[in-house]
Amino acid sequence: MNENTASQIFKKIDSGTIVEIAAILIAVTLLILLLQKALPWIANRLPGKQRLFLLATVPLLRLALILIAFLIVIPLLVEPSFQNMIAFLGTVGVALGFALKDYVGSLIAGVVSIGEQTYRNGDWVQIGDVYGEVRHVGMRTVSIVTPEDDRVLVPHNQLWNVPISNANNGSARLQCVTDFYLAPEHDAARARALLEDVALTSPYLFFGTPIAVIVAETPWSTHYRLKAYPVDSAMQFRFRSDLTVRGKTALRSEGFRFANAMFATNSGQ
Amino acid sequence: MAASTDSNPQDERPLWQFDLLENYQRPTLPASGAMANAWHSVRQLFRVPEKQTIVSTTEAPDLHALTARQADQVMPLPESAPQVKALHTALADWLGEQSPGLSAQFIIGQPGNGTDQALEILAGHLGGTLVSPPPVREILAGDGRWLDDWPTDSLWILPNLEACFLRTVQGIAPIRHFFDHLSSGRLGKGIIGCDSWAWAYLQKVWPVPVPALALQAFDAHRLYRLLDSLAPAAARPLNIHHAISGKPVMVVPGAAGQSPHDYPELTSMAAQSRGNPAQALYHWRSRLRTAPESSADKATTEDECSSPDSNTLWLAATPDEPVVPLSSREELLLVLHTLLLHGGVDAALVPELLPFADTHCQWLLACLHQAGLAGPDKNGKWRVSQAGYQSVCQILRGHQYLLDYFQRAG
Repeated sequence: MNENTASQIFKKIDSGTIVEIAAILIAVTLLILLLQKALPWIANRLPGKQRLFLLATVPLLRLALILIAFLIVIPLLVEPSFQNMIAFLGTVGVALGFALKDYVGSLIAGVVSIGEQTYRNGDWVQIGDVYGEVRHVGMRTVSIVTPEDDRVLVPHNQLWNVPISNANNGSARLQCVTDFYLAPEHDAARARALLEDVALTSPYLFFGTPIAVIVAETPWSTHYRLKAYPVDSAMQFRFRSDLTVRGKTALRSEGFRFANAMFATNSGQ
Repeated sequence: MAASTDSNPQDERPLWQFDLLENYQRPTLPASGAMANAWHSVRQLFRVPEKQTIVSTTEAPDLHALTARQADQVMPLPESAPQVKALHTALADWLGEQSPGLSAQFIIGQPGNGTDQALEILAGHLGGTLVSPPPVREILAGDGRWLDDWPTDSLWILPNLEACFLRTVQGIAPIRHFFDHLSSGRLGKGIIGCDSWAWAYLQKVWPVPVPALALQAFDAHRLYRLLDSLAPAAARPLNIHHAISGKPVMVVPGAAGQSPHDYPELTSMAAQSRGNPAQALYHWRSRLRTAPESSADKATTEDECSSPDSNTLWLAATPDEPVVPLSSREELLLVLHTLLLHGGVDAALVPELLPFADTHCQWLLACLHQAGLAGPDKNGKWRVSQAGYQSVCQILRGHQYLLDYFQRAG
């Protein structure tokens, strides 16, 4: 791009233009900050479904604001003709593509993830080895808080080559599976009924979906998988803990033996 | 009853009427009322609990709330007798059958409506045997001994089924045995009262459809007639005006040509209470205001109050309801839901029903008490307060907890 071409593309930038651009950028930044504070504040006062919906709109609105700012600022810098825009965007694109390939890749993946709603705020996702609740979908990364309360930033460009598992996919419903391994010699029907009652009496239980107990024989135990839904996806670990604690108590009180105990006894003989 | 109400065909219905639960028709709001209600709900959602006030600040400052005694004098709570009579009427055919198709009749009561007391009185009238719930330790142990001494040879009445189970693995065993015995006909003929929230849960424990009767909804018509019937002779004629606008809200007894449609406050009250008369009456009484030296004050001295202008009361705006504090909201909701599902719980039993330590449960109960959402009754059982009932139901509905039949949407 020689000097003449550049002068044809770019407008003459005076102090007024700079102030205008700065004002737009500041206004958009403030709006985004306000949005990112206000919407989660409101969302946290709403019940499950509405909360998730409102949280999911945050990145969409932010993207819309950025696009609007971009559309306002560009004509202030560039003579708004088709050729000029192509030349400008092409030059910027090539430069960014070479210099900041991964960064730009993440930005684009971020736009795709917002558009496709691969993950939204409030979703419980597994990306690679990371499992947790999506707390913030940024432009470059998604912020996930794990059950250990660690905040993990995962670049959006993982989207291209890592499978992403979304446990609740924008809804408040999330199935919890709690495992019990019992020594094989027992009344399986009674164990299954007991485990159903364990779920039925949990204060966290959501009643809109059925409780299921899946039973399977393994070489060393009978494996029970108690499947139920908590009232809110955020309760999943407390729900599973409650099922585990009360499940163990209920099974022990009726004389059921857990497989590891049986295994240890047999090994000792 | 006002002469005008007789002209309305709907007023041919008995004031207190028990019918099938499925026939319950929840009163609805007109569009304008629904908008106001929605706005009130939004305000409730974002209100800071620490700033809550029980009395609306928009009313005239020289009005003051009635004391409990004053409220009893101008608008006493209903006695059980009409409800007992209505129960007797609803059960008359079934009671007369020698071999009834149903061995037992279920009566579902909304919180605060006193259906359990009415059933106890009915037991006396019918000469039936009143059955007590099993001791708590037997319920916790899953012990079914309770059924061994059942009065199978006579009519029996169990007024509070909600006290016969606890939401634990062992605690639902006795109620399962009970349902099992009942469906096989081994328990003989009886009447069972159950709180509506407990009934919703028990239908999950024993998912066999059973017909049940319930006190039918108090819509604006019935509320008007109820308030009319409750106003004692000494308080008549009673003029109630709006505390802010000064417009007449209700006149007891009603003038000829008036109908309950002339009283939009009653329509709104009926819809907000979802037809629960106890809720409607609680809010109605709590909104009544008196001016200094007005009839209600005079009534305390038992002076004459025959002058038409002397019996004037003022109806304050709907007060802000208590809200569930944001901190520990999840745990507080679990406690509130537990209190509702059991129709009230002893404080000592709460840790048995929730996965929290004793001290933490006590702290949560104290938080609810402080927020005005729950408290112990005269028997020491913790219950959701009348003042907080509607807001608790609303938030439980929003979070999709199990609700009773009357609180479900639609």
